Amino acid sequence: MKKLNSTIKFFIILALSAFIGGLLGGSIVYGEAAINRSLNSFQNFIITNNLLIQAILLGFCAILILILYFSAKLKVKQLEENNDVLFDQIDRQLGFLVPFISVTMITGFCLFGITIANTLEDFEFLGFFIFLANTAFTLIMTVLTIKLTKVLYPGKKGNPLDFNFDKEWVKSCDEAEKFIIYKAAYRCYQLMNIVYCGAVTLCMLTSIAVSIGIFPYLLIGFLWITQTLIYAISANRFQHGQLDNGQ
Amino acid sequence: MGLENRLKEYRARNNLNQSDLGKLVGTSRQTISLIERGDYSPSVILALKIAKVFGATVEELFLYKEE
Repeated sequence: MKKLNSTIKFFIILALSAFIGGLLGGSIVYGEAAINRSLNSFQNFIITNNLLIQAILLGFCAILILILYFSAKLKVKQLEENNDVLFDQIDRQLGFLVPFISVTMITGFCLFGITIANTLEDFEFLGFFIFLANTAFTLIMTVLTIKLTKVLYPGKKGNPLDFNFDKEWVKSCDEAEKFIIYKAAYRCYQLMNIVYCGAVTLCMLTSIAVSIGIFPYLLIGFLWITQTLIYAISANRFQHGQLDNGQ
Repeated sequence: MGLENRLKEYRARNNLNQSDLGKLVGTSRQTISLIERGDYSPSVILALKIAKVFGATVEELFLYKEE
């Protein structure tokens, strides 16, 4: 009965998705001109103000990173033994800071990509400078944040500038920390499958109104297949004797 | 299934805080906290290490209850 219910649920969701897709596709066909106009103006806005967006967005992120870092550093100085509340507070703050620095770096890369794609004939040195400054800043902040984390957790190992950093870091984590990392990684894998599916759907819907070429599909397909294969190959390897869990 | 534990009770009896116990068994304070709250079931090795610190058996510290 339960199996039948889940099968019915699956087909209902499938029919609903098809209906919503059709509805969206239909409305895109009807509003093609308006969607085309707004997408083009959005693209023009990004291209025209690319440097300004980079400077403001990355500058804002940099200020936020500095505030968070120095506030965490101050709290670490004030930390006394047995003050679990403050310890948890710093831990949470650093747990937000590290991915935020990574997001800032990724944003810088993407915006610089837009600069390169649209100013090939007249190369923008300011754009290149902002990109370099952002990359250097995020790298320095990553190193400093990891150093601060090591003050909190003296057993942690690894240098962020080393290519083996992730490996060394995970190796120095205890079993619960490893469990959390693996669980989060699997959640990421699951969600990314939905994100890729959504991205392909979005591309298909967008292509009704605007020509986006074949490269978005190729890129998403390549990333999706790569992720699936890496997961499958790793799982297979771990299942056949490379789990290394006997310490 | 559920794994209940008497870690907090044993810790109090031995006058140890979570950090101290963590240091003695080679884990972080957060891990001890996760185990105490029942959010994480320790490995056999860690359970044995904790039991050794308190001079108790694993069964005395961890109780497996079938639901």
